[in-house]
Amino acid sequence: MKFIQPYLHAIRLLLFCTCIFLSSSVKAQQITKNLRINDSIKGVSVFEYAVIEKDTIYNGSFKFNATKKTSNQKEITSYNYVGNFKDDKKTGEWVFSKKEAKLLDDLKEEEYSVTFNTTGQEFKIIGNFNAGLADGNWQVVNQFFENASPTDTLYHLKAKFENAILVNHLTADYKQVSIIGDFNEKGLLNGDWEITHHLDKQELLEVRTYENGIFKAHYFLIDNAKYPIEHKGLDTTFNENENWVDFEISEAYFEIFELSNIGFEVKTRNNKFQIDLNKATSETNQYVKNALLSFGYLNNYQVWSSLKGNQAIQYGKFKVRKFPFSKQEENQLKEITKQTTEAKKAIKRFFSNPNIEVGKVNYKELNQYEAILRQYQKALPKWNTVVDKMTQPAFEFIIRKEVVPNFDLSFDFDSEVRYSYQGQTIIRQHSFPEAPKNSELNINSIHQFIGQLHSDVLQIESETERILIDLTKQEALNEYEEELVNKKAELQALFNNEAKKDSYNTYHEAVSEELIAYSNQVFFDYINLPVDQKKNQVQSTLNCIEELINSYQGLANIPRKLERLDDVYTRTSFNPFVMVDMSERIKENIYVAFEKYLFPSLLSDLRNNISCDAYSENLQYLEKIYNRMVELSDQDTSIIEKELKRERDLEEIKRILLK
Amino acid sequence: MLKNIYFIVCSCLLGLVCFSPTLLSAQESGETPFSMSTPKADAEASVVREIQTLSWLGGYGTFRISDKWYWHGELHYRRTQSDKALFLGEMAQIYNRHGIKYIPTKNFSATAGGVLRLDFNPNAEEGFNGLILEPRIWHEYIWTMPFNRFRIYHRIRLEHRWKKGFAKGDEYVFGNRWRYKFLMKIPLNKPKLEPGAFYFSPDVELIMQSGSKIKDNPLEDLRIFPTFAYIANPRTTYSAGVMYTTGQTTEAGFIYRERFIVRFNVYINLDFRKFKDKIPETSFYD
Repeated sequence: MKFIQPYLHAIRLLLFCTCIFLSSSVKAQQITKNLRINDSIKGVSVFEYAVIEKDTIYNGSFKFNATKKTSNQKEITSYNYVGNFKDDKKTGEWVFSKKEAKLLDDLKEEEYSVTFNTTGQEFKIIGNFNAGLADGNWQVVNQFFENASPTDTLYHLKAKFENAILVNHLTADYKQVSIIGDFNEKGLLNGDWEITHHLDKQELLEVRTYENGIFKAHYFLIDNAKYPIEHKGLDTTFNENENWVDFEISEAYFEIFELSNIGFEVKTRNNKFQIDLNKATSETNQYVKNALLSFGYLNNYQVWSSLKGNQAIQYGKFKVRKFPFSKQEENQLKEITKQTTEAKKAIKRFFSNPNIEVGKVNYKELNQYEAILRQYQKALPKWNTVVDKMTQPAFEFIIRKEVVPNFDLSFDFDSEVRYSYQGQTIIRQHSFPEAPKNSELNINSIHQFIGQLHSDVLQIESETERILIDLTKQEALNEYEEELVNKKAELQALFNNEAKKDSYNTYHEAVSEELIAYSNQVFFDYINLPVDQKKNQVQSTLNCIEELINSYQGLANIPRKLERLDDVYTRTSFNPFVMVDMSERIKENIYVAFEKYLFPSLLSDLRNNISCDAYSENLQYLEKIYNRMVELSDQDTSIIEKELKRERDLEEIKRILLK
Repeated sequence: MLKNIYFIVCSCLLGLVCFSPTLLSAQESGETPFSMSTPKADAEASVVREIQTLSWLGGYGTFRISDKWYWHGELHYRRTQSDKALFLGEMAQIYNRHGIKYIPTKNFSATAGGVLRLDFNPNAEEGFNGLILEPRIWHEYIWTMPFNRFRIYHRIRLEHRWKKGFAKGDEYVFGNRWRYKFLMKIPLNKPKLEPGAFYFSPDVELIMQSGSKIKDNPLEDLRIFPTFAYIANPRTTYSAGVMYTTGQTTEAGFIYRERFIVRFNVYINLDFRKFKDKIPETSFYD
């Protein structure tokens, strides 16, 4: 060390200078800057910061104010943050407030600024942080103020955090209830949580006992007498081998709590209370939840995480045992949800369908279905309640064999269905699905039961649809019948040649009488049908008459086709001896077979077999023969001609021509 | 229809009778028209030879070789009366006529070609030939006039021939024939001339001649030939009839000959073109 001695003074001076340089380089600067938090609140912040390695580090005081006037300019909403950062982390006391206030008319000018007094409501959190974590005493106040002075407190919460965990004691004073409770060192609710309900004429003490977050007991204490609230299915005894999970304070926990809450134990039931204890219990849940979450939430606005630095707050925890579903149970629950939704929709569709009212006049089944579905509609609230309970996440955290048998599936269906139809009261039996006994209730049996309900409802809907289609057909029937009459008239006018058409020819004339007689027969056969059968037959009858009408054109084309055949089976050549063009028949055997035997036979078939099916088929056959004749005119037909020579048998002619 | 046919047939027969002085005179004299009497001399005018009877079997072929060109061929087998038999008694002539026909329109044709006629003399005596040949060059022009119910044909045929007698040593003498023919074809059972139609054809031809040897006999022949014919198909037609002819003889202008010729003809029309060329023109707007 001796050799350093001479330089010691110089070293000290150098170190001092270095320190001075370093301290000056990270010296905080203050800036006023527009800042938008939570993407919606735009305001002005004044803060101190330092730049280290090109990063802006919040260091020192921080203030933020966002004041927004409402449209009428008379009301304001303001957000305020005041606190300190140290190395980008909240530290020391922080105050957040939100005010909703009306501007009063009193003005005050000072230092060129005009200020207004206001009247309104303030939500304020006063908390402490250490290195970014909630630490120390915290308060939440929600109060009214008038003319800039607090007047009435809606609630006042006090709690203590250590390393972001709620510990020790929490008090919450609301106008309706007061809550006092403790946490253990892990932030789990612990000990008796006393909730005092301030009623008009009495105070009611509700106690919820927790042991390291595990629910133990729930009772009301009145005149030093305990009135326990039964929470069936909520496991209260911890065992290492069991599946226990920590629950942050949330809606889900209270769902479990409420799901298990079946009210007073039988032995303690009495009529002493003026309030609905179930309702009071449910309200308590909301107050506890609100009390715990208010340290970091204003409704859905996350107060602390909207600023720089994370939320760093836990709001109290519970410990609950989980009873995981089997794969089969998961599927059954999914199916229960699906079937219930479908059944509900089907019932809704039925009662919102205006055609049902119309149909009820003529279809007594619709009246019956309505009476049945009314019973299902009446059962829906209970049905929904059970399904809601079974399908909420909380259902996985209760001992189901203790809770499920208490589900109320007593729909009280009346199998004697009464309804009125055309002034008469009719009673019909309907076999509603039978609910399993309470002792037999479980996911499986409820799944089966709801499956039966679903099936019955959908069956009724299906039948209803059929009837409504029938109804639609009935309505359409009138239109069809009108069309049918018109078509029949059109047919008869065509074949009687009332319009004196040029296209009317001997072939029309030949079939006219039979065709009109047949169309009359078809029409009268239809008219004489019962209404039910008419609905099914009207379209085919209409098609038949249309088919006959369409045949008019087919017959009108025959002369043209015969001319064409005559043409293609004629060869014209110049005779230089007489100096004229001369035509002669070619492939005479084929042409003669057609002209002399086949065509007359086809015409005869057409005339003698007039029916919806045969008539069209015969025309098509005629068309086929014609096409074949045209085809043959252009082919080497020496073999066919030879075969047809002197052939008179019709079937043989057809066979030879069509092969 | 039948009335029309009756009228036409009667008219033709009447015409035949009028053009036949022999028949008239025969009827006046009470002789039969076919009697083998000697020629009668009219003191003031002409002499009519005894009527001859012949039979001609004819085959007519018109063969199409291109769109407008045809080969025309005629073959006649002609017999004449003998002492023993009328009409078919003995060989008279074999007549070959060939030519190229041009038909530019359906109402006109022109033909030119050659003829070789073989004249037979079955009873040739010493100093006479039994067979002589008569060559000709010919050309003809036909116009047709179509009417609703019939057709009229005008034919002008010109022949340039070299003719000689049977006597040995006879020299060929050149002469010309000027022929005009008028004929009609009137369908009887059909509205027009078409396969299956029977038709009646009044046919009159005047044949004039000229040449160094022709002095007072320019009228070689007047032929009146009412025919009945049947069109079997566009390729075949048959006709039959009796033709009356009369004209001046080579011996003297005042001497006339008369002939009744039974004729049976077959008309064959074939198309020798390739198949694709036979397809008639098509009007797509028909």
